[in-house]
Amino acid sequence: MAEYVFKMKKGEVEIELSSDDAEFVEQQLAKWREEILKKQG
Amino acid sequence: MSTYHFKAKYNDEQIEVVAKNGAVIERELDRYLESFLNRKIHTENKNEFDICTHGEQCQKEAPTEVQQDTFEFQPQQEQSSPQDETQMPTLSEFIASNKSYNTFSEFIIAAYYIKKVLNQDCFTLKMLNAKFYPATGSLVDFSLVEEAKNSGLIDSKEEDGVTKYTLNEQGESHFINQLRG
Repeated sequence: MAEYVFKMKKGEVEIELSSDDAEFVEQQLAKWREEILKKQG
Repeated sequence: MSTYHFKAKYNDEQIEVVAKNGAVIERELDRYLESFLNRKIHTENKNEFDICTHGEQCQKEAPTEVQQDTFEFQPQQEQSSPQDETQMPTLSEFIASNKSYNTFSEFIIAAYYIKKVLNQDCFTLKMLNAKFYPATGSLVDFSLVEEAKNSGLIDSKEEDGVTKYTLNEQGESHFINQLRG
């Protein structure tokens, strides 16, 4: 079964999510990306 | 049924959550998202994010053992000094035995713990978080330190380009009068 992973790293802090639920990982990745872009903007 | 695996690392400390229920992992992610974004990095990596996505053929092995509808929370054991190992409470035990209302009060309790239990006059933010994160699941950031400084509870000094903090007398009194269990 496929597994999907996304990692976020900032300084010494690292967060990793992995799952075989593609939709869930996609939603979470989109949420994090959106929040990061919002913060940087 | 799907499995969900969440991992957060700070230096050598790590927590891991494995679940069959995505909502559990989503809650953990939401909890970390805010502190992750608001974290002020004091390193050369400031303001840089590394985003890594793996495709369908990711070679990472799936978790082998997952409890149904539950999750595992596995903070690594705090390192304790060899001396007084049998009697010295861990930071999490010390926080639990006192009155913590929020991250700020936990921070003051931790500062007291470092000074009075570990007998260390001062601490760096990195050293504090190495103990604080496994004990509480939260990080102390510069805004919290500033709040404590502005409240007159901690003092800071620069040594070899490193900022060190110490709980001052007012901070000790605050702990004794407001937070001691």
